[in-house]
Amino acid sequence: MSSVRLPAKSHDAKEKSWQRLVTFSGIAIIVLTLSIGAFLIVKGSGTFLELRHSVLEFLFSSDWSPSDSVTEYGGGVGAAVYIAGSLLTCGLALLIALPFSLASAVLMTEISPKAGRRLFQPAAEIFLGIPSVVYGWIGLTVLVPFIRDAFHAKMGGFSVLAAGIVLAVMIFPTITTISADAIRSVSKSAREAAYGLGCTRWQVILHVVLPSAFSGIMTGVILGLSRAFGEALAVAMVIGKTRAFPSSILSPTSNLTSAIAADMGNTANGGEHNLALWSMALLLYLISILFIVAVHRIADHRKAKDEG
Amino acid sequence: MKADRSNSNIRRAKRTDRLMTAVFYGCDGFFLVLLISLAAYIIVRGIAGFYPGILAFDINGIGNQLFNTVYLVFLSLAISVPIGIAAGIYMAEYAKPGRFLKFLRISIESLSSLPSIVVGLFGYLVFILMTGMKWNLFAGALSVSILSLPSITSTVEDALRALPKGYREGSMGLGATKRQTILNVLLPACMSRIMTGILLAAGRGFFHISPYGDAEPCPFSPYSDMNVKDTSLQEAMDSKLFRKLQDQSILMEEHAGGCVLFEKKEQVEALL
Repeated sequence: MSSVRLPAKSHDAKEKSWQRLVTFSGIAIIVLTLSIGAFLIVKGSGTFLELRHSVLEFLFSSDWSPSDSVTEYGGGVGAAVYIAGSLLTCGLALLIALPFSLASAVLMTEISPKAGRRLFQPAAEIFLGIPSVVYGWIGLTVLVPFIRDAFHAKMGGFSVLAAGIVLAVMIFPTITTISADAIRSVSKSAREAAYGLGCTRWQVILHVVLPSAFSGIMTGVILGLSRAFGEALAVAMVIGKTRAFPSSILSPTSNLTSAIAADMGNTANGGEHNLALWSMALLLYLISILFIVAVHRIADHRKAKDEG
Repeated sequence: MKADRSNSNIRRAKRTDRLMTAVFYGCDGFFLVLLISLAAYIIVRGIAGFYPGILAFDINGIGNQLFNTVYLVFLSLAISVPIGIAAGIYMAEYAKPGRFLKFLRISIESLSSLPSIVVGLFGYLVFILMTGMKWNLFAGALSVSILSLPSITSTVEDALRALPKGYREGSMGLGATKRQTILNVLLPACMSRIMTGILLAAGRGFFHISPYGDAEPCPFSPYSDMNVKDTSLQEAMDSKLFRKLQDQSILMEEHAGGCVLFEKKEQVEALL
């Protein structure tokens, strides 16, 4: 005679509180994200709402002379130099990294999958995990002196070029691994059909594989860009931190992240300079949200295409 | 005539194919060499820079920095791992597909793509300014845990979702509740994947501690751009300003992490 043991009542309570606990953790993440956004919006909008600077001035003027006093306002908050610095370094990094990334992604998927799996995939993953200070350090000790000696650059090699190369090395693994995933997911039958028509491997890659993997490659590019845009340390170490538009890729400039990192600590909280830096942080936040939205748009678009 | 042209077309196509294959190998060979030399450079210079006493807990060693680094990572993981695992469980096992889950997912993605400097500023504002605390290691750990939280959460979710259905069914069939199933069957089964995720997340936390590669680094320090180019790590740590700082024992006074250089701004300026 064995009796069926029903779960005790305390069991139910345990289940309930357990479920509450994990649900609460999920909600906590949403609250955290929203509050980061809210804090940045509140702090970052002070320049425009309290100090009455126009958004256009912030974005397009290069007159950066904010006062550091909490009672005195009236300096310029034009962050155009920093914005241009960020755009230029990221653009250059993408220009350098993209051809290499695509070539690597194609090689490790289409041409030599074995070497890809054994060699490139692990290598790319390792380099994805290297702290950015290490990249910056090598940029500082190897790249900067090299640029100084090879191109006789002013400012001892601290330049847009150095920042672009360091960022390119940093975003290369991101773009490569995501592009390789996209290329792998191109259906086999499309490839086989093209080969069956007598295409060479290069023709298959150029006309079949790359176009079908295009949206996946775009996702990789955007994620790479968002990493490059938010990178503070490695760029700050090699860009020269000079507040002027660069006259060539060999001249130093500054960017959003290194300006925030360098100046935020020594401004009076609530002063004009301080608020302007918060506005720059808000701008970085908005850009990273924009990147995420773009990635989702691309994914939705692809899904719709696959289904339709 | 026609056959000739198509023959030459084919030949050209084949030539292009071979050429492009060579270009691909060339590109990749170049980058692989670059990556390997990068790694070799770090290792060789790192070993060359080693000297007896480098790990000591005094002004000549990096013992304090190393200890703080490890301490900071553990502290931040102690905060982010429980929350991350719980949230991952919620997403994989409890949340119903719909608006809320989608919103949570977008939150996690935007959290993970936030520039670390923005997270740092948030931490500075909330954990330092709003609580009225001084710079301290705990505030640093809280900020770093924000950085590692999203990757831990999505690792746990992916790991749970990847488990075969039979695990759940078997456990439930034996009469286990959902909570018991998750704690005793599912989590142990994907522990190795979760550990990998946590270790990777820990790696992301490291770079915040020595932002400029200097011996006493701090992202907010206005005196961080010491002249370290062209010098080895050891020489850089021997720089005049550092020596003075060390002799004046500004760095040795009691403090719980944070930027002493900034706290003692006037004293440092006097040294320059």
